[in-house]
Amino acid sequence: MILLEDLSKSYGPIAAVQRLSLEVRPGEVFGFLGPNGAGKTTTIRMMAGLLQPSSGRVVVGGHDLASAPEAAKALLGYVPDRPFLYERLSGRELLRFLAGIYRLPPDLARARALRLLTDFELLSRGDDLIQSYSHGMKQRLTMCAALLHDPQVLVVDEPMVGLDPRGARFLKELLRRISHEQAKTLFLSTHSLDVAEELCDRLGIIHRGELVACGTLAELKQATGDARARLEEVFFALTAEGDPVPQPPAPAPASP
Amino acid sequence: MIAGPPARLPGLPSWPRLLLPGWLGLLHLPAALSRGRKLAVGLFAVFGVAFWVGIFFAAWWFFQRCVEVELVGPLLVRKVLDMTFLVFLSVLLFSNLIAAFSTFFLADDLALVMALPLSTDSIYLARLTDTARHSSWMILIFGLPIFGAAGVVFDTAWTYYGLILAILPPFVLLPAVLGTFVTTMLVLVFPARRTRDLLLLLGLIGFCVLFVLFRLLRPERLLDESQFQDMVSLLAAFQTPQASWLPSSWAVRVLFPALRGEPAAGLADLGLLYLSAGAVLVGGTWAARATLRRAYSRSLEGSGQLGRRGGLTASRLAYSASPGRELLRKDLILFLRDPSQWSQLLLLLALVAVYVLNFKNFELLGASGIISALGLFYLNIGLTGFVMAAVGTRLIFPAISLEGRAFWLLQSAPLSASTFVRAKFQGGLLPIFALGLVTIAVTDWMIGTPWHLTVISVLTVGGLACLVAGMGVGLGALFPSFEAENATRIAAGFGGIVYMFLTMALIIGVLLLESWPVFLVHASLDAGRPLATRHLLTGGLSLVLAVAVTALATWLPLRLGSRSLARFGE
Repeated sequence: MILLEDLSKSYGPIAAVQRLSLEVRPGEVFGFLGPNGAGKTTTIRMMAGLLQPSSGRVVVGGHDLASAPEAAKALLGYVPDRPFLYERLSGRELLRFLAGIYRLPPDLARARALRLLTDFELLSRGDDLIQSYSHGMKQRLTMCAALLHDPQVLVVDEPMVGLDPRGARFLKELLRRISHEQAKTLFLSTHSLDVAEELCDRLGIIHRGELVACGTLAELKQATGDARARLEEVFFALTAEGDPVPQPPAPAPASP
Repeated sequence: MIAGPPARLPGLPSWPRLLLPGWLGLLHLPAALSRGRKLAVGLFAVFGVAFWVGIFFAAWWFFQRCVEVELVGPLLVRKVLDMTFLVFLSVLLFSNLIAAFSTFFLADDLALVMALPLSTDSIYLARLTDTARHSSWMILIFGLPIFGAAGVVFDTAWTYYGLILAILPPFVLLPAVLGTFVTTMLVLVFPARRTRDLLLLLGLIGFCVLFVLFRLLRPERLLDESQFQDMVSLLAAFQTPQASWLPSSWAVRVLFPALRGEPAAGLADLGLLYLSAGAVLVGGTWAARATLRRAYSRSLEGSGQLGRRGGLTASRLAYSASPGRELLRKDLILFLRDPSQWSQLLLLLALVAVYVLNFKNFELLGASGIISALGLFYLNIGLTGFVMAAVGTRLIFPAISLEGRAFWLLQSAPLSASTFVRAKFQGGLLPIFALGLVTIAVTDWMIGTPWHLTVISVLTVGGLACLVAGMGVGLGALFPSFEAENATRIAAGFGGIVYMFLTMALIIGVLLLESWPVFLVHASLDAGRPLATRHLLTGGLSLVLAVAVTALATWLPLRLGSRSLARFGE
């Protein structure tokens, strides 16, 4: 469903992503892990059509994002790490605007917006301006916007950032439902190893712009040579910088 | 345990240290800019210097004319200086009111600064310096060449230039302290964001009033030798507030004696400026101790209270499953809900009203035979074109950038860059065409333009509206600024200035190409004779070229802008 082929992106002399290739199958939940600055967000932005690759290509549902961007983007829903929206629109107006952009017929647009606002517990605030929403509400509205056109592929960048435990659990349940009940393909970038372990069928680990490992959790454990290891240990083993994991400094002694 | 007063820890940062991040950011700016941006900044600097030099020579020429008037010449200069300082003081007050919002209550780093173990005095003084710096650039750009030109005309000693520099710090500080105080009081009563909208609106109205007042003075009369005595009496009669309590009057009382070679006569007023600034600063610091932290807390409470959407919306328009129409509808809703945008309509209306009201003066030029009827007709179209270009800089050029940080929604949607750019073009064309049409129709009617010239002028303005909208959207897409806070900042940037100059040059070019066929038609109708074949050919060719330039200047920027947006993120 998603094919990344020799994907590279450089910012001047800095190579953010280098020759990344992977394939995500239909209905699969793929977790994309890596330390800060590894190239996760850059990869996801290239998949969503926000950034142009320096080389390589992105194919979504058989459509090349470079040569058939509209066909590829019509299959894709994107949720960025920071939910910047039109602050002076209401939630309902934003969904209506995007329904027009995705050319949804009026009845379908109205019904979907209503259902999503209800499902995401935003119905009572649907007519309020987005600028009055909390971070979690904006995150949920962004998810509504991504699901409005019923995409086959959902690309989510750091879904848990800034969410309280209730919001995080809600989102986890939702992602599980989307993948299991609606058989959508999910591509998740996350720092939360628990979420990855719980939700993802396969995982890819990116480090310094290169895909250093890709497979099921069992395959990754095998690759590190410790079948009983937890994902956290696998992650540290695969993204080690040569030194052990840094430890926080000991607290300074109290002054007399 | 009861907390005592905060201890004076050794090495605790003081207010100058709080300014360091801003200054270091400026120092590192060259390294942070790409080669393209450096080139843009270089061009911008060249424009800036040219503008500065232009103001200097215009002021020099003007003061030269003033001193040539016997007896009252120097008084005339004093009157002009009075007016200049008064305008600066008013504008400084307004800009400080608005700048204080950003620096004291909306800046991104405030959460960090307010949490630091710093005294309120340090925070207040550091932010006050920033506020004054943000709002005082205008004096440096517009004021220094004017004051400098006066010095050159009077061939004054170096002490005059030293005094200019000496009066600037207290003259800038006084409105900064006052503006900050008023802003703080307003935030204590209203939510910060709403108050800023209110102030933007008030600022614009104030600007319009000042602009109209200035136009009513009709400084262009100075161009006419025969009317100069009238202007002198007008200036003398014009009651610039001479209240001795206004810092603008003190500043003039420092500079004017120095201009006439008696710098010592103004020293008492210089002392008054510094003493007042010092007293106001102490008072402001004292008031900040009592109010600043409470007001900051209030601004945080206030930001969440904007909830319900306003009644004046376009949301009742029928839904359409068409990206172009929904984009237009969304832009209209956002425009109506953003006072910093719709208040520009006031500016637009003031600009048109000033132009139309002053057009009668041009009719006098035509009646006196200085300019022909055809010349007047062209002047009218040209000036209407410039009005459209000025409005386009504020309303059309920023349209793409105003998508702001939410642009990702459109980038990730199945929406081609050309559809997006076309929708923006359609959204900009309609109001600019309506503006041009009304202006040209009313002014043509006012001066009794013949019907055939009226038809030509309406058609020309229609073409120019396309050009203005096409250039605005196209260059807006070529120079996007998605991080900019508001339309004014976008329009004042490098791209906005390039747009303004290029559009005006193209308008002049189109009118020049059109002038020959229009002249031929006009002459042929006047004489009641058909056009000769030779004239038909040359006139036709010139007309085709005018239409081609208009079409190309509309289409090409849109095309280049679409391509640039499609590649955005490379």
